[in-house]
Amino acid sequence: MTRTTVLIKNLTRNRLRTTLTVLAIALPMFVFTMARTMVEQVHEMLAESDLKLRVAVHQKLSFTSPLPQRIREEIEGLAPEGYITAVCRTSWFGGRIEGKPAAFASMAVDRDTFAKVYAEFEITPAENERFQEERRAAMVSPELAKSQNWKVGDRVTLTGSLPPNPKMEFVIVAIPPKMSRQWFYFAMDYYDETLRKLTGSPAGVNNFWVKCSSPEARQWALTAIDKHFASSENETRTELESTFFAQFMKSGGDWVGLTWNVGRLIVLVAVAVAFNTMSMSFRERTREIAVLRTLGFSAGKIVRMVLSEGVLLGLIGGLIAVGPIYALTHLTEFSIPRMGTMQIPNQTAAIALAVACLCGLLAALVPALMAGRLKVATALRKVV
Amino acid sequence: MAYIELQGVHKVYRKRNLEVPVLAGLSISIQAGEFVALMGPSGSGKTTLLNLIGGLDSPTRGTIRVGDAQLEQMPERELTAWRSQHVGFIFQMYHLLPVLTAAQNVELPLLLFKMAASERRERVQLALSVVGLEDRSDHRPSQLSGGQEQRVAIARALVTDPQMLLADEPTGDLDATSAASVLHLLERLNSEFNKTIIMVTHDPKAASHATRQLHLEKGELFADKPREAAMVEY
Repeated sequence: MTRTTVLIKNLTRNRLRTTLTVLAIALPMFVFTMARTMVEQVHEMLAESDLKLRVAVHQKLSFTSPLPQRIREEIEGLAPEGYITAVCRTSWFGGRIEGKPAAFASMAVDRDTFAKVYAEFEITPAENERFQEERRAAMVSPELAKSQNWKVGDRVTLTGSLPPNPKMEFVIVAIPPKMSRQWFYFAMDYYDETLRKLTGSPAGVNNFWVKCSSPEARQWALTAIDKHFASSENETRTELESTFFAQFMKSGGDWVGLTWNVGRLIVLVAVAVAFNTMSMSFRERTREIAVLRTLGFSAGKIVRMVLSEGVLLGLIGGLIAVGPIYALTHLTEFSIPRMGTMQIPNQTAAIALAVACLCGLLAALVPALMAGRLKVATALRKVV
Repeated sequence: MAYIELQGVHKVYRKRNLEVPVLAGLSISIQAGEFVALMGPSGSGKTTLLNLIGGLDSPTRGTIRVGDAQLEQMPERELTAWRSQHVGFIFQMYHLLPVLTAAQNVELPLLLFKMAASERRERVQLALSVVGLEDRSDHRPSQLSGGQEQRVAIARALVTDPQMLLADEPTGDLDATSAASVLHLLERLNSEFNKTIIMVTHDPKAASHATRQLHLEKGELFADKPREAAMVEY
C-alpha cells in the first residue's frame, strides 16, 4: 500500500458523490474545451489568412453596401507594376436549397481571377478550365459536397437570400480538395446577368479581394487604395483579410468573445461545485484526519493529501471531458455546423486537463488548509 | 530515572474570555514498563493528561519529559515526528479508516517510514498475529466485530514498535467478553513486550489489569496506588 492507494480508496468512499463531483468538473471542462477549440480555430484561420497576402476592399461604411464592379479596373490600374497579382470581386448570394435553412456560404466570384486570388485552394488547370467554360459553373468545398451528397456534374438549384431572391441553377464543375469549410462559389457574370434580367441593375460587389505580390505591396495597398477613392462617391476601406473576417464575425454578435467568456465562467462553476463537495467530504472526515495526525502524519502531509485528492478528482473530470472528444476528433472527420471540421488541438487538450486539475486544486485549497490547521486534541475531544 | 516525568503541569483551556483550568500543577513519574490506569470522574483531566503525554497538546505551564524528549519545548513538526516513532494511540471508538482493510489500517503508520514494502508487510502480519487477527487481514472494519476492530487498532498502535501505548477508554464501547480480551491483550503487551501503557478508564474492573492506578479529581492527583492496594478496594 502507498499513500496513493489511500488517496484512491478515499475517492471510492462515497461513489455517488465522487461520480457527481467528477461530472460536475467534466461537463464544464467539456464546454471549456469546445469553446477554446472554436476560438483557437478562428484565431488560426485569421492568422493563416494574413499569410496569403490578400487585402479586402469594400465600401467605407459597411461591406454590406455594394460597390460598382468597375472599381476592379481602377484598382488594377492604380498599382505599380508587379504589385498586384490579381483582383477578385465577390458578391454575397446567401443561397439556400428550397425548403431548407441556409447551412453554407455561397458567393459569386470572378471566373478569371478566382483561382489566382485563392491560390491555397490549389484549383487544377482542368478544374479552372471547366469553371471558365460552363456558364452556370460552381465549385464547392469537399465538406459541403459530402454534407449535401453532391458530386461533380450534379445540377443544384439555389435561391438567393437577398432581394430579388433569384432562383438560379448551377452545375458543379469541381470539388477542389483544398477548399475549406462549407463554401459554394459560382461565376459573377452569371449572377450579374441574372440580376440584370430580373431588375435591370447589375450585381453590386461586396468585396474586391486584392492578391498582392509581397508584404510591401500589401502595405502599399492598405493605404493607396483608400487614398485614391477618398472623397469620391465610392469611398473604400482596405483591410487585412484577418481584420475583415474578425469584423465580419463580430457583425453577427461577438460570439467568439462570448464563447470564450462562457467557457471561462463555466470553469468557475466547476470550482464552486467541487469546492462544496470537497468541504463536505472534509467535514465528514475531520475525525479521521485527527487520527492520521495522531499517528504522526504532519500537517504538511495532510494538506498535500487533501490537495492531491482534489487534483485527482479534477484530472479524472478532465480526462472524461477531453478524452472522448479528443479521440473522436482525431480519429474521425468530426464537424459541427458552420465551423466545419473540428480537431481538438493537443495544446487545448493539455490546457483543459491542466485547468481541470487546477479546478480540483482550488476546490481543495480551503479544505486542505483547514485540515492542516486542525487542532488534534480538540478534534479528538469532539468525537471521543 | 523515570521514563515519563511531569513537573507542575497546568492546562487551561480558553473559550472566548472564559478560562477553564483542567490540570492544576500535576507532577507524576512513570517508569518504563509500567501499566498505569488513569481514573477519575468526567472532566477530571484524564484525557487531557493522556494527550499531553502523547504530545497531542501542550501544557499551559510545567514540563513534560518522555524518555529523552522534553515535549513542551518541541515545535509541532518535531512532536509529530516523535509521536510516529514513540507513541501508539488506542481510542475508544477504534477510529479505523473504513475504506481500508485491517492490514491496510495497520500499515498506515508505516507509510511515514522509509521501508521496503516487503518489510512493511512482515511487520503488519506480525502485529496482526500478536492481536490474533492474522486471518482477518483482508476484512474491512465493517466486516469485523467491535472487539476485533479494537484489536486491529491495537495492532496499528503496535506496528511501529513504540515504547509507549496510550489508550483512551479502550473498552468503553465493547461488550464484557470483548473488553476482557482487549484487556488481556494489553496486559500481555505490558508483561511480554515491556510496553509502557497508560490507559484512561472509568471501569475499576478494567483498571484492575493495570499495575498502578492514578486517580484524578479536578485536575489534581487524588490517589496513586499500586495494583495490590487497588485490588483490595475493588
